[in-house]
Amino acid sequence: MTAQTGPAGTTGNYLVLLEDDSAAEAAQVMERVAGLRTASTADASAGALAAARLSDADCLILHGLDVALLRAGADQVDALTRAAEGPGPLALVEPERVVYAIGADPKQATVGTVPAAQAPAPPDESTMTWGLQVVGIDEDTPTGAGSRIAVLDTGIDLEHPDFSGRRIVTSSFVSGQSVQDGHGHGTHCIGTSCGPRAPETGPGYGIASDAVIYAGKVLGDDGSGTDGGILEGLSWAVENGCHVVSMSLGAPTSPGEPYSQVFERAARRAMRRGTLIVAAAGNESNRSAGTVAPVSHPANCPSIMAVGAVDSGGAIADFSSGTVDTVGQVDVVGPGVDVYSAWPVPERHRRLSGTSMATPHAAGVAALWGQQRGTRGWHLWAALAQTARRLPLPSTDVGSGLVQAP
Amino acid sequence: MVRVAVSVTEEYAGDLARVAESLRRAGLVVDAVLDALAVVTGDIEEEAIPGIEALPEVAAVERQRRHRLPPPDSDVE
Repeated sequence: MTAQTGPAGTTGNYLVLLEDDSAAEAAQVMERVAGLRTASTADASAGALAAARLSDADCLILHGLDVALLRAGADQVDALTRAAEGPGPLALVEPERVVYAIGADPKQATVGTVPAAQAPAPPDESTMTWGLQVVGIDEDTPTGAGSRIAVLDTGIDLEHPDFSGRRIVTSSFVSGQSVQDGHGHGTHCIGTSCGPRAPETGPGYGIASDAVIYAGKVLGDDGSGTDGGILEGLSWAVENGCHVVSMSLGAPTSPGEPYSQVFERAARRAMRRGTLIVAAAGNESNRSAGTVAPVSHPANCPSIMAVGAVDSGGAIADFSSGTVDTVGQVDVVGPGVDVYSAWPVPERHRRLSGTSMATPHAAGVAALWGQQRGTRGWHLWAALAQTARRLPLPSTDVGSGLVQAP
Repeated sequence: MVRVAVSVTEEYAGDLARVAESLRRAGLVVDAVLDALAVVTGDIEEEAIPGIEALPEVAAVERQRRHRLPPPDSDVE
């Protein structure tokens, strides 16, 4: 296949994407509709033979990739494109591009300008919180039906009208206390990850609004808990096949302090069993005063997704912990400033800030991706990281970026 | 007594009840046996920790950390 000239940046040759495992059928179709003689890399047993077959053929099927590389005239390309548009073994036709080593393209003068973080404008929260808006929730977004999200926190207000009619499974791992939330934090986090998109009053504030809620109380009504209680909650969530565990909790760490082997090993087991654990990166920073704190325990474990916080202007939150050593890293960010969500009755709703608020955004979004793609564990982590919106901020602060709903 | 969490090695993770017995004999007052995570939690005298660490069933022993949320009226949570 010799390079010819085509429109700027193209060679004049074409690439045809084939449907899975349909190379033989595709060869027949390409001959029938466009008169193309085809060779396949599956036939070639030696380099020289391949080159000979190649120069004789109009079309070379790259067997392992289900892609055909060909040269063809305009009429043939039209015929192939029509065939690709209908059912059959051809999926897509595109012009072959010229590709350069980075920096070698003479036209590539400068890298495009990096968009600045937008200046904060007061968000319009008449129908939906700014957090739901920036993670891309709209009427077409899945609602997490069939997903099981465990929120390990201070429990849930079972009397809250915004959760009426929802399937809620509860357990308390705080001795002497029921799952009924006497603090508020748990209710707020469950609201963000699993609450309603259209509550009776106020804006929609929940992401996986049809998920099954697993409310695990691992922090007492005074807000305190131990590793033991948290591990029990984690075990319960894994045993119940929860797709995602959201942990808006943590203990501060010192720079360079090793992460917990116990939590890391537990998280790896959880991942193998299909449970993704998402945890708050921590609120110990005071960036305006010049300090960035390391990621808290247990979010600093490699197998736990650490979530930092951004505000409605797209800036990193002042308190958001960062990647300051090689131990704990921020993996993604979520909306974490001035977040409206549920609060125990009679107050019903409250605004809070924290990586505690960013975390359930990520957990809810994870549940939606799990539902959308049927993926769990590491594949689900990959989906979140891959689809996150890249931000013009250091990856030490935002990881792969702002989580985005399917 | 110190609250600890023990992570059990892969090799022994299939029979956590037996591991818990072994840990009891080494001085652990067992609190929870968590099959899903291959973790056993409990209380133990500080001096007995090295003994537990040396067991072939044990991958890691850690003192449990405390977690604390700020009060409900705090600015940042």
